[in-house]
Amino acid sequence: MKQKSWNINLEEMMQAGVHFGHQARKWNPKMASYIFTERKGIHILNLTQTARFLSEACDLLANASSKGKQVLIVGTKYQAADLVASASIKARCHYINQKWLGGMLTNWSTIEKRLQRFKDLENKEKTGVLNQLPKKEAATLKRQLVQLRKYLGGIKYMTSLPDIVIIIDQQKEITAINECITLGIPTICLVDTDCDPDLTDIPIPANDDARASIRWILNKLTLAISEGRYNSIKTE
Amino acid sequence: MAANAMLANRMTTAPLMAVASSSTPSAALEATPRVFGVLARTGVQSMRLNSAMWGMKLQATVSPKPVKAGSSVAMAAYDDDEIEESEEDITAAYEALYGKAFEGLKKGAAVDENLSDDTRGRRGDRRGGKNADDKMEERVVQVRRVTKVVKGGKQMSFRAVVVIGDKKGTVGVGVGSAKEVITAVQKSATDARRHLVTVPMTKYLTFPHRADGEYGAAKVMLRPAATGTGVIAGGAVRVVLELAGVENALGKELGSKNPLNNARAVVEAVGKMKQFRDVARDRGIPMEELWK
Repeated sequence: MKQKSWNINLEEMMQAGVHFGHQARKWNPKMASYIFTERKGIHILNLTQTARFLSEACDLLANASSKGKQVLIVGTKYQAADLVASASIKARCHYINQKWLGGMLTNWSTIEKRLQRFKDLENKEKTGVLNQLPKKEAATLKRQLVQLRKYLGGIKYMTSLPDIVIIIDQQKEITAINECITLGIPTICLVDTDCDPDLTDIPIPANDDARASIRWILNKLTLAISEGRYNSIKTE
Repeated sequence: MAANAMLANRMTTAPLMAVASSSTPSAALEATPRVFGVLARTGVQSMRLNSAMWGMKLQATVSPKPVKAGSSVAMAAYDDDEIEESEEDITAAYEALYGKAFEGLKKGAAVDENLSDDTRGRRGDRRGGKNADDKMEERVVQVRRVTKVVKGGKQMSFRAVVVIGDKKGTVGVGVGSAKEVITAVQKSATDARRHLVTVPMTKYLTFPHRADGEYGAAKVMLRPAATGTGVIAGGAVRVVLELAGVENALGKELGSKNPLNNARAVVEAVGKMKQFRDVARDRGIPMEELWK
């Protein structure tokens, strides 16, 4: 595995606010080794460890995407929703930024049925069949299409279970993490001071509340994915 | 500038701690030209970058130290999401990577909604589906009628316990319940396929050593036997051992006689068994040592 520096700069991280944790009394003691100190009742994360984990995650992503593996990015927090969508579109990954429906991975065969319905409705919309139906039916179908687009828009192109899953907030997406554990899918997760680092394969201790912090980390990860893919295209 | 460039060269090859402890953010910001090339070519036909524009934007936002116009573009350009890609470009890029949308959906995933006009005469082949592919033999150990009592009365359903095996060392025990017996048997077969274990067997098709297994109140004792003995065990234990392909073994149900729990206890017992080669590998010694 080649050692490549991903230009992870500690000062940039501090500017983005990656080092802020949550309130000291809400912490998870398993994060003790990743916490630097406590200031004014807030835990501060140790950024050198963050840098190490982030570089490990980037290496993994670059390696995986150079072999054509599929990545799914999950982030349903209000602050993270649009960031996740834009980052995944840039990196050409699948994403889920609205509610994580229960069983999306473990009950994939049922979700496929919804995707099939999505496909049917989109075809109908394209061919203009919807305009020929009576008003009420057309309205119902259009509403269904809007709902499907909202929840499943990011996984339109997903054909089977993803190979790696990136999760933004562990506490919020605990269902997603449990599904990945059941299925044995490796996960990369942004863990904050109130999360459990043992649940995920590569925890990245970082602030999961601030938009700047999420954006900065997603940029690094998606850059790694794009790099890996470019390398595979170049060597073909 | 020369010192900066040298520092940049060392940065890209030095380990991460050096970056972490350095105090020159500009040096770390200078990405290699190759990375910039990545962004120009990733996303196939979609990214429209104007390097001069990005360079100026960078200088406005980041450090006031002098930064070469073209070099650090890559990192910051990625940070800014001002790249406008049209819908068709995004779609084209995704399709180039993953194939057309919804392409991977299997035919059987189609759902019978009123207004879909795909032909839906596919009820027949959905039954065989996933379970017919692997060459596993199924045997039903127990089917019993179970009841759920609700306000209106009793709701009956059937619970089936099925053991699956390929007679070559893989077995699985599964449970499933449904309103009809056949559906319950199918469900339990699917469940059994999710919980397969391998049985360690010697070349005489028997166990390597004695083992006890417990599940709930059921306790099972398994013992290897010489060739020609056959499987001497009762009920659920016999079914599991036969489907595993074990030909000579002794088994006894010591605790409760519940079939499901006994089958699971056999699976537990078999999981505890070790072959000589596994022990030698775990201890890091050659196999001959174990027989001395």
